Amino acid sequence: MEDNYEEYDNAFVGNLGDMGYGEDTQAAGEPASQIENKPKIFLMGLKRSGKSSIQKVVFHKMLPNETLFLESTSKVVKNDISNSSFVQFQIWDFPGQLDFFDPSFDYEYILNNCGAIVFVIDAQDEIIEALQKLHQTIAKVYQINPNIHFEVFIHKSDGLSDDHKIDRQRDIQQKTTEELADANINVHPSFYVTSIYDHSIFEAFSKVIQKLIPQLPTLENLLDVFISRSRIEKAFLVDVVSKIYVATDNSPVDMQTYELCSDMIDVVIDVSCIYGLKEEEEGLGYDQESHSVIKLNNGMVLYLKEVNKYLALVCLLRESNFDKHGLIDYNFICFKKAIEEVFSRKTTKAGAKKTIKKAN
Amino acid sequence: MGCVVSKSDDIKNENESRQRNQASSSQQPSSSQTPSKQIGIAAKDSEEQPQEVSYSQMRELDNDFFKDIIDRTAQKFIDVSMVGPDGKDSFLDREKDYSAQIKDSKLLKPTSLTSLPRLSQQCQMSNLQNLLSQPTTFDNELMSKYTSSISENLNGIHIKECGELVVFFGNSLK
Repeated sequence: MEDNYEEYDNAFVGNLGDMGYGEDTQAAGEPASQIENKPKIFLMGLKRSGKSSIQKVVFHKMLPNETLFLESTSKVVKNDISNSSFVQFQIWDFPGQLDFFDPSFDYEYILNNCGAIVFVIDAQDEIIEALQKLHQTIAKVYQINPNIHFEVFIHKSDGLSDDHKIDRQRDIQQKTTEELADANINVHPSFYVTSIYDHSIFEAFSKVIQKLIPQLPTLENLLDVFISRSRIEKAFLVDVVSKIYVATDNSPVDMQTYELCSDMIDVVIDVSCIYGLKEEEEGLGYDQESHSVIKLNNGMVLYLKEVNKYLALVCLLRESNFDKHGLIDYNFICFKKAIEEVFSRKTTKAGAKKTIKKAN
Repeated sequence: MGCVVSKSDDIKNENESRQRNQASSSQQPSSSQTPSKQIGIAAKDSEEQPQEVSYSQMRELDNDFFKDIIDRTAQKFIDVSMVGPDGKDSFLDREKDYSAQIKDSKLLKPTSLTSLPRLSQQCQMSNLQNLLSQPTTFDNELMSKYTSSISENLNGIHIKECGELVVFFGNSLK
């Protein structure tokens, strides 16, 4: 399957000339101003903590085992993620050896449009140095842009036992909280235990992306109403390319349920690519006609419907509640129209003012 | 005789006429003095006044917009649990009712079935092989009987000479 993301490996323009970085170039056909206006997510952390592996697995469909052959990142890698009609952002992968706060680095400029910083910590390695860098990063970034979300990925957890995962998370979280409190920094990072070998990395990134979507409360409310009226147990609004869920209803997220819904997308896309595309036709095999119903052997039904070009609604419901699927289809049509209305309106940006004329 | 004298009514009418003329002449200057309104230029009193909308106001407008979408969509949704009766249960109920009806009913043979003539002994199913292989004696006798009857009747036909048969058409030939 061909990636649907554009990737270009460019160094960041600024005062990086002295550090051996080249000139930045914009994506083909896209103005520089439009690229720079997209919210950014920074991947930071020590060397070999797994930053590039995360980016490759989540957004480029790389198999986890293939990440073993990735070379160390030597310069800032910018990935333009335009995976849906409304969620468009950039992933910046920073080398671990890069001193972000070096005076020759214009960090104030690049932090202006940053939405979140994902700090990756290797859970299998010594954490003292990583925590020092994390605290330093939070302290300095907070002074420049206090609106940035801080997300900590306790990564490479696949090598730890369940008890050890909990202990490591508690230890990191406690140390960070105490350090920030001592420094009088009113920042509350979120912590996730992740691994590229299971769906935890996708769930963690989903939470990060959701914090950058201003329409999230509306989406959640719509999903809540939809599932209550349609007798659905759980629903996810999923990006079919990355399998990140941009919204879900307010019931608790069960990892197994998310994995089932994610696997269903894989099945639908793979079958569509094999049988749905004409000869010599390229594409994802996913369009407005895409829909699927899979009956599980545990009395449950997986229900998938296309919402827009890149989003799908994936639901889990009881087989006994699927007898009136015609009414559920009707409710979905209403839901889909509402989603289109939500994203047809551009939300207000911070500090923006608009002049309107009104007749007396 | 021949003398012309003005009447009081004539004088009165003339005075009224003068007053009307004066009134109309006084109105003309006011109408001609009214300034003309240029096309495309709005009056000063109705000019639009620009107003700035702050960030918080825009956020409030956004929230109202989204809330309206949620409310309208919620009203459109059909509550599946309230729509009944349940299709599956309805089918089962109908199936049970039909089975009960079938079980209780007694089918009666119509009398017309028993009044049909029965086939002859030679045409029963046990004799089917013979029927298909060659004609039976019964059939041969029947055909012979019919043939003789037809021949006998044909021989009984006699033709008499009656001359020309003339037929008249319509009343005009009378």
